[in-house]
Amino acid sequence: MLAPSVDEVVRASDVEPRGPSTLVRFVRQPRTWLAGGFVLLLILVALGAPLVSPKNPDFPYPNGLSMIGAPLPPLSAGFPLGTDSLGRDVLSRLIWGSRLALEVGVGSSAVALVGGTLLGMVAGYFKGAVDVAIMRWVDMMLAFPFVLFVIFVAAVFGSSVPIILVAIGILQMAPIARLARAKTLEIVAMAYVEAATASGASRARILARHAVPNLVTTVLPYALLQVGTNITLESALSYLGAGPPPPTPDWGAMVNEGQQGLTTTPWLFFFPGLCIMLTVVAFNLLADSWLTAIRATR
Amino acid sequence: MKSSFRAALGGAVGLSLVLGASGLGLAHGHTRAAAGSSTLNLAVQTDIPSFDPAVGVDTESVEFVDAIYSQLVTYSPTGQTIEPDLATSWAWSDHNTVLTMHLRKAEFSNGNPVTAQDVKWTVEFMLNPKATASLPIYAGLVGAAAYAKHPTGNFAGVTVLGTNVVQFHFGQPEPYFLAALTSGSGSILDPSVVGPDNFSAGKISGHPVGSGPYMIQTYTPGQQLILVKNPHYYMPGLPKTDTIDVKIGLSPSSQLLLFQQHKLDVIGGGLSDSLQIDSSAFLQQYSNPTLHKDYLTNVALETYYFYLNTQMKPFNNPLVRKAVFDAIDRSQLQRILNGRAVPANQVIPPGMFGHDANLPTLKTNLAAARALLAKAGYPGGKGLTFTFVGFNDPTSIKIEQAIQAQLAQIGIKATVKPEALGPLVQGVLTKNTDQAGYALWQDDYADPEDFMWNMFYSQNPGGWDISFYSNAKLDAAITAGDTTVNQAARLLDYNKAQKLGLASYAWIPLYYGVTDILKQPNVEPANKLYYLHPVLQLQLQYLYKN
Repeated sequence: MLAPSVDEVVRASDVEPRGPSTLVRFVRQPRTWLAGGFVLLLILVALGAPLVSPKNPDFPYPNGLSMIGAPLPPLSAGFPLGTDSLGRDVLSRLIWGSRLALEVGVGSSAVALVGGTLLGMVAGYFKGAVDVAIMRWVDMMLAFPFVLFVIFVAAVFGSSVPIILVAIGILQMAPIARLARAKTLEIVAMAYVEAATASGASRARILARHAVPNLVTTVLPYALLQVGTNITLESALSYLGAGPPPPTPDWGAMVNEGQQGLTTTPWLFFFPGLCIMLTVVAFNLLADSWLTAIRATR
Repeated sequence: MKSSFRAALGGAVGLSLVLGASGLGLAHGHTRAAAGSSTLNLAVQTDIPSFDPAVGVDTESVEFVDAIYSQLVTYSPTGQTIEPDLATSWAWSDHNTVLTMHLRKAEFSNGNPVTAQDVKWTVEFMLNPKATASLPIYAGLVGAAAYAKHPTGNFAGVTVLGTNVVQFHFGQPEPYFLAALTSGSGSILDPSVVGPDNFSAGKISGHPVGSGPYMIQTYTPGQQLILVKNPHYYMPGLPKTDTIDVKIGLSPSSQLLLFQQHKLDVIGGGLSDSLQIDSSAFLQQYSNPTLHKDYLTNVALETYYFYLNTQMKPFNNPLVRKAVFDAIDRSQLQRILNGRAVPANQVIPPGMFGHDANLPTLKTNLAAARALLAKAGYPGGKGLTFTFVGFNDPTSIKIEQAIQAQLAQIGIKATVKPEALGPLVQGVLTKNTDQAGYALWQDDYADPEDFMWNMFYSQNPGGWDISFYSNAKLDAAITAGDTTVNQAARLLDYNKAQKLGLASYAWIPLYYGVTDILKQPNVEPANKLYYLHPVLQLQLQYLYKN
């Protein structure tokens, strides 16, 4: 995943934008509408799954398999995107699977955003031993094999959705913490912060009024980028069999099942793979748009 | 946009790498069999649990136990009759309570001769509780129970009359004993592997030495097993292939891919946990005339069933057990298996003596199931949750999910916990570990005693009564069938036992298996019974490439 470097993001947030506000610049970009529209649609589908889903995603329909037990192809009667090897409706499983994708993708990003920002802010503000301790933890988490860590956590604590969400969130705190620390170091060196300190403002007030608002602008695009990464990671875990237990509709698990019948039932691989790809691209486009919006025009 | 597209591409590449690592990482860690010699290339998905004949009774272990060890008798290649193997002749006497066997001149793969004393030692080993033998085929010998409690001194159940003459003494007739001797548990071991004063069952699996057609050249757990011809094997002209190269840890899709690339010679059957080729492989061969002619299928002597632990909630309640029994839809399971299954109505499969042709077909009855749950205190299935274990191959996972969905129809929330074969086997034998599970019993030998004694008899300490159900009448009916020489009387006893077993609802017969394999056109012989033998699975010693 080619995410922007810490320096890139910090530099982008350094420059005072001229002209329209960041939000306006963000909204003006066509890709924001395209990607945002897709994400909004995804959110609506996920929230409205009970209403939108044509069938029960977990039920193996007796007419969902051919006479020799083969999955039905797309455009089969009653199954627009076909069925899987148990006769379950693929479209319904994709719709319900969007809930898991968003839950883990957005949820773990939120965990990473809040936790990473706090850690980085504390490290950058207090410096010294606190900074060293936090940054060594960050280095350790960055060096640890991603997938192995989450598989280990799932093996020990179970592979439920909350566990996977938190595990991915903890891992993703590390890059955000580094980012937040770099920006915090910059902020606390600013004249207005020094003035606030000199005038007796408490640490909490300084952090809340000066650090946090500036940090949000910096770390938000990174967190958005992480949504796509986290969705891919969750899909990879399910593909490897370490995801939520069956029959949870899960795009990654559907790809896993689909790859076993690449030549006979390609739709079982194609459709969930397409969903993963489009979702990841949409969130990445949003992150890119935001990053562009906060860059200064030269 | 550029960075996002690159990111998406990076993700796609990453997913491809995961795909590659999980299923197609073939070169890493695999050695080649000796160049220039004939080699049969096979693969298994999960690692071989054990090479110890005492415990290696699962479908995968037994394939290789049979290749490494010999038994006193064996089945004919076509499975119709019992033939000499290490024993060249035998005779019953004393009202069928004494069996005298004459052994051929044979050697273990390390050159040590196979003697009657080795046979006696093997029986003592199998009775020793440290061996944790899964199939107690020698439990009926005189003094076996006492010896099993205190395995010291001379065991009177087996006597050595000469270097190559051994005698078995039974407390009562055991009409199935010859059939039982054909199983992997009847393998004859070399005492020198363990040593007289240093008993250790682990040494057998770690250093298997048999007198079978093959011996282990190298074994890298989780990666590869190479078997080579045993130079001391006593059957002239066998084995027909010098080397068997078994890749371990390949998923069914990877196996099919390699098969299509002609890098694997046989897939499916006894090499697969589900004893079948994968569903997508079946569909491919079904539509591909080229593959179709090398697709072989046979009805197996095996029963897939769902067991309920009667010692754990909620299945200590017979009403709940009956509700689950009534909720199962066997025809749906048959369809999911591409028709490669026969809906079951009893434990003993068709084709085996003891199968009761008069038992009715088992039907699904959701209304009755719901009523039973309400009576049991779980209206609408509310509050009724449990976890069940099962195999972790793709086919079994599908069946487990189907059962899960069927139970959901009556409101039961069941969690599936697929496990690798080794841990699964360990767990099911421990009381109060698993609430329920999806299991398979495949015949070790073609006699109903193999099913009834092992699966139902509650007093069998090493048995597979994994429902932990105990019923004195059931035990008595099984004992009667096991000890009656008259076949007609045996049939009546087993019919009675089956009815009692089914009435407990602790075992829910699901379907009888149809095993199948795909082989390369140049692999001979063509007769399917060499690959899908009713008892012996792949008879590796007869297979060769043209």
